[in-house]
Amino acid sequence: MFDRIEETPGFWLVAGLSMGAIGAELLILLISWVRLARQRRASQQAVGGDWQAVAALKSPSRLPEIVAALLPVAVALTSARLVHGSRTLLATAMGQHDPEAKARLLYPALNGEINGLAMGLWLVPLVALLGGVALAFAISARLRARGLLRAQSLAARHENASAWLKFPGPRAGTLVAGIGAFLVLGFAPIARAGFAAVATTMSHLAATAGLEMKDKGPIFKEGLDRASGLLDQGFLIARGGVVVAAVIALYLAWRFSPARAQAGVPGGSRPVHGEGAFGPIVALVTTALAVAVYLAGRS
Amino acid sequence: MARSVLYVVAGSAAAWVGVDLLYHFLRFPDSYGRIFPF
Repeated sequence: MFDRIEETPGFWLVAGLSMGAIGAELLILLISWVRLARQRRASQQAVGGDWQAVAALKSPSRLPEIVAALLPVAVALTSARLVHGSRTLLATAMGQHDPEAKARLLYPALNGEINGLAMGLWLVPLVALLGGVALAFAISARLRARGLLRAQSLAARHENASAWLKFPGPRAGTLVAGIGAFLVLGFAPIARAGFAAVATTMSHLAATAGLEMKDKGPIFKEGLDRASGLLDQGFLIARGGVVVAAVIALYLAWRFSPARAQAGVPGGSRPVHGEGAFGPIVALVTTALAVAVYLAGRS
Repeated sequence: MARSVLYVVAGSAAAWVGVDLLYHFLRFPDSYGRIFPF
């Protein structure tokens, strides 16, 4: 166990960052859950004609959802940077002409690469899963608070507020399902294939122990080929999973749309003020960035 | 609804590229160097 810690590059950095991220995600989840519970109580009182509790609600900022979304990315990038360091060392080792110097660099680099990957593949999905749930709850808490305040402003002007009071914003469960679909159907298959590939590489590396240098190569190469095959298989499943997740997310967005539900309430919904352009701008920038990264990787 | 579609498109694009990058990152040494140069 302690050998593994020593062989894993930046073990304490990744472990500390992940634990900090998990703690922050849990805190965001707890704060959002408390906000949603307070909104539910306020909404029930408003149905009875008492709008004081709704009027006392505050519209939460976007900061918790931005933090919830960025923390898994930070853990993933840190872990990837450390694995990349081991791979750079591996490339340096392969360039050595002296066999002794090559062996001295090769084994720490290989161990660091494999152990770093295994650690990242454990921790990043854990932080991402928790981050997805925290993100969904934070978005729901913000939008539902805004919807209830909109209902309150309509009621203050003696207008029909029932649509906004009944359907103030997206439910956290719907958002958890949408984000979860991408994580479970898209990212889980490739992460699972990554685990299988690391295990295959490890077992082939272990099988080379005690063998002559000339015999080690073919066995290790066979391990790498098998690992590549497992990853190719996982990648195909993950690609299909992203498409299925997109269909599921679109269905959820349509089926549980608060705007669609509001339109079905007698008296209808009337917007009080604009929705703001921050969300669409972030969505457009994310799409443009994704397309640019995809094309850059293929050039 | 249009906003929701925009968010789903953005999420799908990010997930598609994320899966692609993760695949090439894990597929070392085959296609790793092409995407993540040393």
